[in-house]
Amino acid sequence: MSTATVKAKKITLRTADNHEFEVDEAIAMELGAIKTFFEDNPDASEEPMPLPNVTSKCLSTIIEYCKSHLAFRARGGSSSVEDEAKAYDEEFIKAQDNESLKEMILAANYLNIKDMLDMLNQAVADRIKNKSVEYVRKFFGIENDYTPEEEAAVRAQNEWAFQGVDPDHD
Amino acid sequence: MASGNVESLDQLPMALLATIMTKLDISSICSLAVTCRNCNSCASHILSFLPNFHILDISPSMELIKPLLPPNPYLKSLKLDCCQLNDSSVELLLRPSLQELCLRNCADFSGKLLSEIGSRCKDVRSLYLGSVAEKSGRAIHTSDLKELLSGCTQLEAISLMFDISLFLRHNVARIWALASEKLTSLEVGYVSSVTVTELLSPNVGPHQCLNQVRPSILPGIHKLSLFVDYITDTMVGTISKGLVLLTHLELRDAPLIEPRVTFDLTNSGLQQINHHGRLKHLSLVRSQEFLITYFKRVNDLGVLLMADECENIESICLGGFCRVTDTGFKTILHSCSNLYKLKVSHGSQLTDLVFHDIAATSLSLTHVSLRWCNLLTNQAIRSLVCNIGLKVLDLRSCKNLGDEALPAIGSLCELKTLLLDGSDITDVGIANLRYGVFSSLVSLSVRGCKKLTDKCLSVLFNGSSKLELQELDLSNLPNLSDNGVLALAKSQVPISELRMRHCPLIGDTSVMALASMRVDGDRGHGSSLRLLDLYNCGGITQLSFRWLKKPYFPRLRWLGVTGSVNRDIVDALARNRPFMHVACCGEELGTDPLNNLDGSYVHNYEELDELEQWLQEGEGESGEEEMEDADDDADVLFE
Repeated sequence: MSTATVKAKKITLRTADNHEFEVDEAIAMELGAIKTFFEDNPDASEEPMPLPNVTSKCLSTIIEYCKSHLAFRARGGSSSVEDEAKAYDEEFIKAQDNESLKEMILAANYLNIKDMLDMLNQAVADRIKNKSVEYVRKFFGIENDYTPEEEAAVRAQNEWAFQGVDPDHD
Repeated sequence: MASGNVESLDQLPMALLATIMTKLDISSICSLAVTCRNCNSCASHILSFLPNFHILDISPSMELIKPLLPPNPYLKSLKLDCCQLNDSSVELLLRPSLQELCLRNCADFSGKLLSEIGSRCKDVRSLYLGSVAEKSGRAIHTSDLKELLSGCTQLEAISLMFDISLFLRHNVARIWALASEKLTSLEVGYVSSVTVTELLSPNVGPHQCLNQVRPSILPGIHKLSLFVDYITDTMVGTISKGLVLLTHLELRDAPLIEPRVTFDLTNSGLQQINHHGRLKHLSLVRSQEFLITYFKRVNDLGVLLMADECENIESICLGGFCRVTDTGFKTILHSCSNLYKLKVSHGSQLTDLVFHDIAATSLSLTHVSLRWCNLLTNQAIRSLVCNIGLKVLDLRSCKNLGDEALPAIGSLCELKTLLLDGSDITDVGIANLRYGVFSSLVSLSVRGCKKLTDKCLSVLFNGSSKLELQELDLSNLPNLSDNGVLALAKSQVPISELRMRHCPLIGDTSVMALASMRVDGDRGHGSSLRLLDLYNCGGITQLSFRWLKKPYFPRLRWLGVTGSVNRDIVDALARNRPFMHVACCGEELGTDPLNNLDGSYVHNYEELDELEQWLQEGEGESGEEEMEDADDDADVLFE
């Protein structure tokens, strides 16, 4: 990345719903997939880059997040900055509902944003910790593919662990 | 890896789900395994690289944990309640990769556990062992401890929460000299003060020349926490001089007989504290487990001398200093400008004057605990709340506190824990907490505040604002009835611990109401309670037990009931819920040390139940001879 340029280079990203986002190169490089793409195709920066798997709502949130964390990193690695970054993450997560969290995980995974993905995974883990089996199934849209006998057996085996309600009483 | 069109995002691909699973604790992983076949195989796979394995809220059998602990070279932290395990589990549990090991309730293990840790877990940094070999017929030998200390060369923190005086009698220093030099924290469940003194005394024996001092024992210790028979001047002096890097010192004793003057803490002992000037946390507590007794040989002078030496201290806990007056306590507040934690119990001469001009100090206390300080009145609380950063306020058994203190407490917006046991508050006063402190409070106890009625619950839990409350203690409230509990249940507040011991009007309706509490964000019925104590509640009949069975109270791990209601029913419930701890004899529930700091906590209520009576009678019989001897030692008044 050339540090000599005075004007910050902008990169355009086009989302699935055909919105175009212009972002600073620095921020675009936070998205691993974009970084790799431009490393392989250094001349492609003029055209908007298509992201068919990301919605505009999602991308704008991600860009916000990356911008903030870039700013945190620029301020150095002192423990007070780290604490601030952590607090920012907590507030960020609190504001997201389960659906947006999942959407962002998929997007962060697709765009290969390692740190954000890690943080989001931890946030989801915290949300499903100690929840009932039914809750988790609904959360992830998991289909129960056990036979009744298999399910009874695996429930009995793990009875000590889960806080769940028997499905009959739903 | 693009997963279809953007609209259907309900399904996270298995790989992502698996990554999320690796961030979960073992019980959530096993819970997830039940959702589908893929998750089940994921879960099995994760077991072979899971870094943390913590199961502390149930006592798993060998049968249960064996499949959960396959060979796993990445296992770093193991925490387990070993109530149902014994020496045969040693091979399963003790792995060379472990850095953190916490095994509670090891009563059925022998001392072999220690030696095996020494040989199998050489990389362990932090070790906690509770109640080892306490079952009759099990023994620990000195060699076991030796092998533990010499084998674990990386040990930084060790807690041996059992009576080590049973086997540690001779060559104490030589044994502990084997401990790793990296050891910074030592905690012992019980040891005699003589042993401690012997351990840390620079020993110049006849075979050594006078200027050859033995290398110091436990040189790196920062943190020392001991439960001893008697806190003595000699022991305190030896500790203070011997441990150069000491920053945390916690000493608790429980005398069996009145201590003689040579075997007690006096002013001169207190003066020796913080010899090397590094002390940040100090706790000296005389507990009344066996005998009502105090630090009678310490008065204001001692505290003044100590405060002089301890200006950098950040946390101080003094229990049983009945001869210290306002002068002494005030000196602490005014000399120690870094103080953030103040705990005084049995401060029988502590009055409001101590806090009279606390606003003039630059103190910002976050934890204040004043227990059994009978002279304290509302005025002191009004002065105290200038410390707006208070997080914990423990005023248990301060009988003279009442409604007038509550508006002041209501203003503390950082307060998380509020304990008002045994105070003179009424419903009117409690209403002052409603707007303000109550919305951020996590733990509230009004045990024994006899004037409270159902009204206080309807006031507190009326309204739609989101509450953070998780623990609530409503024990010993003679006017608390099912209506109050109904108000609580209706509010859907997701509390996890509810105690209502000795409430004569609480009955089956309350249990039913609590059972039908639904908590938002969780499908199906399921109250969030993990702990419910209904010991000696007058209206509980067999009907309640139907509502205590599954699927009600799905999270319940601790239940307190009066066993004599019907033994068969209680047994049937225990069988229906094999992973729930059921207490039938009035024991306090849970693993929270806050409620059980002091054995004497039990003595405070006039209505003693069977267990307490039996305990007291038992003590009387065995202690009689010793009591007579103690009477012969006149209580010496010092100048």
